[in-house]
Amino acid sequence: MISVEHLTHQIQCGEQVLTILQDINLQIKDGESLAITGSSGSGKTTLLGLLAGLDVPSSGRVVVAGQELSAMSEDARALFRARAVGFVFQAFHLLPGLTALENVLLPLELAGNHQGQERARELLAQVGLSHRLQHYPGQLSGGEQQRVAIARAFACSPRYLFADEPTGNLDEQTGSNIIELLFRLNAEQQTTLVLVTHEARLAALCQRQVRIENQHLYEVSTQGAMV
Amino acid sequence: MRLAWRLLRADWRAGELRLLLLALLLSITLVSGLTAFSERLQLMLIGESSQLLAADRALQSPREIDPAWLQKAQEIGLKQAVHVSFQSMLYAGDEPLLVSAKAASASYPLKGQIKLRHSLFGQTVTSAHGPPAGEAWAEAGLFSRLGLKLGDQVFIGDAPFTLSAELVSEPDRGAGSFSMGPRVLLNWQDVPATGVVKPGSRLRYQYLFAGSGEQIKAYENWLLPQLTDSYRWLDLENSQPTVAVALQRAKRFFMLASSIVIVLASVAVAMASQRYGQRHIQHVAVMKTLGAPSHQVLRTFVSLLMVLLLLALFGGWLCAYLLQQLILQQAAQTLQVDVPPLTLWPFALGFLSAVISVACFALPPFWRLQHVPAVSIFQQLHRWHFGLGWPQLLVSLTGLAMLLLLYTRQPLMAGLLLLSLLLVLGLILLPARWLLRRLHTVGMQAGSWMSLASANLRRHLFANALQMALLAISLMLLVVLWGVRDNLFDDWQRQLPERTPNFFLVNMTPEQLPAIQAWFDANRIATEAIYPMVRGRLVDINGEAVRTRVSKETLKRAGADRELNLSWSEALPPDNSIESGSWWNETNRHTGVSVESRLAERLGIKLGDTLTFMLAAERFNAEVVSLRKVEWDRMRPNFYMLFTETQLSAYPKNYMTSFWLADERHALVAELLQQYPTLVLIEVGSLIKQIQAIITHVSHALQLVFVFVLAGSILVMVATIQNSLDQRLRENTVIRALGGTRRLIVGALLGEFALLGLLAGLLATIAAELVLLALQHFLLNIPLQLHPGLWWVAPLLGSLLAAASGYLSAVRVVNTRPIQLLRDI
Repeated sequence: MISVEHLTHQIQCGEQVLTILQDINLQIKDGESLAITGSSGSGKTTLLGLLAGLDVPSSGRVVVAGQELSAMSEDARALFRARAVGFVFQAFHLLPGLTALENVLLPLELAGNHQGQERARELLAQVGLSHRLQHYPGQLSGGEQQRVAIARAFACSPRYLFADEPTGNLDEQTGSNIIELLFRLNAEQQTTLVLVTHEARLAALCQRQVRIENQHLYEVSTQGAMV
Repeated sequence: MRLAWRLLRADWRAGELRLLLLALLLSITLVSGLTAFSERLQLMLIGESSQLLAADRALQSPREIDPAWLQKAQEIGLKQAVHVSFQSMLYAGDEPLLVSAKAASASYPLKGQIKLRHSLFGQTVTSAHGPPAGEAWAEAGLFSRLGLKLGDQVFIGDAPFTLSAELVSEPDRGAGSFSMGPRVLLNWQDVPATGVVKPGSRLRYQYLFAGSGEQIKAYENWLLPQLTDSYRWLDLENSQPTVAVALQRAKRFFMLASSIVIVLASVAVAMASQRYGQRHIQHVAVMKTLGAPSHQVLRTFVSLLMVLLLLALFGGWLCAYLLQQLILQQAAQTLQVDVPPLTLWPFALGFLSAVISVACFALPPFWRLQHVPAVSIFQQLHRWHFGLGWPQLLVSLTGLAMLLLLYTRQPLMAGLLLLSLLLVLGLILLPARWLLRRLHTVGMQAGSWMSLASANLRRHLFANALQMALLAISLMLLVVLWGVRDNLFDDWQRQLPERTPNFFLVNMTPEQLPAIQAWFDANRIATEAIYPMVRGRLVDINGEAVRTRVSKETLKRAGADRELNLSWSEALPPDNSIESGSWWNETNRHTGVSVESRLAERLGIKLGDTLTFMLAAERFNAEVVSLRKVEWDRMRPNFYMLFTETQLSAYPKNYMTSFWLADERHALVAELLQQYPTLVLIEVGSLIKQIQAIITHVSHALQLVFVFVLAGSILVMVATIQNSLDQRLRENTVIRALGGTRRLIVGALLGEFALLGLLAGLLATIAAELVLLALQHFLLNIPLQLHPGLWWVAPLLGSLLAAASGYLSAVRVVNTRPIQLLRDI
């Protein structure tokens, strides 16, 4: 369960204080899939970062699995992420000097699991890259890189998966394949999926959609109207 | 640790760590290698130079010394030898000749070798000891003057000797003081039998000592306080000033050069680490997003740095060992001395400096990586500012000060070096900013790539100015070293140039002179000026007897206790310079005398004093009209007292000169001596060769240090340029994606860097000249001079190197598809 109460987020921009998000309230049930939509610069990614504990809000609470992330230190949140959170990014964010296998091993090793080789191989096989284990990101296509990133995201069997525009850098066909993969693994592993996108088609695949507009969050009904 | 290892491998593959490792490696190799090298080379050269003294130290005394002194030397473990020199009549049959005898103990010489020939002017061979008892080795002059041959018997005092070899040279026979008559080398055991050692006889004992530095030091501490005025304690410094000065200057140069390399390597380490940190912000953001807390990030990167340090340490030690071993072996072979043992200190010093280097220059950026926030994964790379802060600057300066202090162990020198570097940085930074600002107008008038280049330079004004300043400093240090090296070489060359006279010819009579000059001309031998010599004794100074005015010991030390060689010269001789007073003019030329300044100082003679000499039983007065500084070690005739011809021509005189003769023509002089048996010929060629060999090796050593400085400068330049490359790469990628042509991008990057290098080079040249002038004046004590020959070095090297780096990066941009580049950034 992810619970957001009266979340407001501001950033200092020179002399000015910019309010990005204002008085956001949101509940996401375990196992649910939620799409956050909105126009560019509306604060979708900021909200995703706050939900995942990458940052803390200026005010309000973020509680994930009973833990109040907004009151935890950066390191405590990091440990929480190591245990419970997986990420998929638009820019993939694979480490260029590590092979596909090593990139998937990274979260396992950060979590202190040094016997993760089998798990990493298995995941890469599941994303269809068993023949690319020793390739470096630079030697993989965009779609392949994103598949490695998905395998990495599922490496620690996270309860929550956060995806930031996962198809943003990919062509339509590759994007569809990635989405299919993401939702399949999500169903298999029964993770809670929070996905930021501006693609209506992708958002529609989620059980629920919210939209950010003018710093506020609106629930979108299945018919596409805001509530 | 496992992660650190994996990251290390990944970074290594990606080329992220090469520069940092190289900088650390250079720093350790240098500190360890140069310390070991200069330490051992110095020991070796001191060993070689001490051959000129036949020992490490010598005690000169007019009488036998207290046996307790020798006992003490024995207890300390010093090796000992002794010889005594005296003038004596030698008889071959009934024919007498005044000779300069020297009787040496069996262990003489302690250092170096005696050179002799078993047939007159034949093959020269060496011997590690003097003649056995009952035999004498004599210089060629003795044989020719008395018509003797090897195997003949002669008498000195009451003792008979067999002439068993021709003496060519002893290691400790310096030039400068002329003893009368040819040298005859005897055995110490024969001295009592000659009966020349009697109360009142003029003897000069020389006790020789050799041992380790500590042993010598211990003995000096014990002995020196007990020495009175009648003893002279000789070391290289006062016995061979040419070599001592050369070694001293070389040592300073070493110190200066290595300090400079340490500074350069430190800057390179700092820049490479800074770049590493900058390029790993995203890594850390990914790690943190994936759940790594700060301490884990810190642990990972610090472990990585430690592994790197260990690699650099072992690599550096190995390089250092091999390098110095290789060169020392070579030097040892040519100098024919042993390579002194290697100590662990240079390696410990390398370790210490590496630790300081890593802690103060590499660690700060690595340390700061832990503070990269996880959320920066959503931001552009450069949004999270990774710039240099004051704390890091302070840490770096402290580190630099510690390194310099550790290396030089001279707080003053370390402080001055650091201060002048900061000053130069500041001084270069200001014009660098100004120059970059001025580029605006220049750029607008030029073609499009040029305006892109100058726009790039202006945009990051401070960063570029700093980069230019660092470039300029590394170029400047290079030019400074280059200049200092040239100054030293020139100075050494000047002291003992090619064809430095290797023979002195003394005792030519006025009647012989025309014929001897004709002989020189016929044989095409060029001599130095021929000087007359009138024997005279200085008796009064301002009417007061010299003997009451100064102590006998001082008189003796000044060499004025016996007859002096007085001479005349119209022109100021080559190695002389007037310190005070004036050289001959119409008013002083009839009554004046020019006095060598050191003698004047010892005897308390001042300008305007009246000196009274005894010349052939006549008193002769002269007023001191000038004091001359004389460089005695140039192997040319020089005199304490110079007059004009009109003053001295009436007195009995003979002549002397010096000349150079190629080795293969040495036999010619035998011919001369046969014709004129009364001539005294002194060969100093072997002494000159020895000094030249030492100076050559010092020069080679300096060349090596210079190569290191060059490597250090290049490393700093590459590191500096690489640091700004990332930013430029991004910008040019965008330009390329927007349709910038290959020519535009290559031209812009090439132009930008070449311009940067050129400007840095110009600033470096100006700064280097200023620093060189200061060094010449304060540190090296050599005449001030500019170095127009070096003005091209920094601008050329700077622009070439910078342009090459710029080109390499430009090629990467233009040879890759824009989409790939955009994906990479």
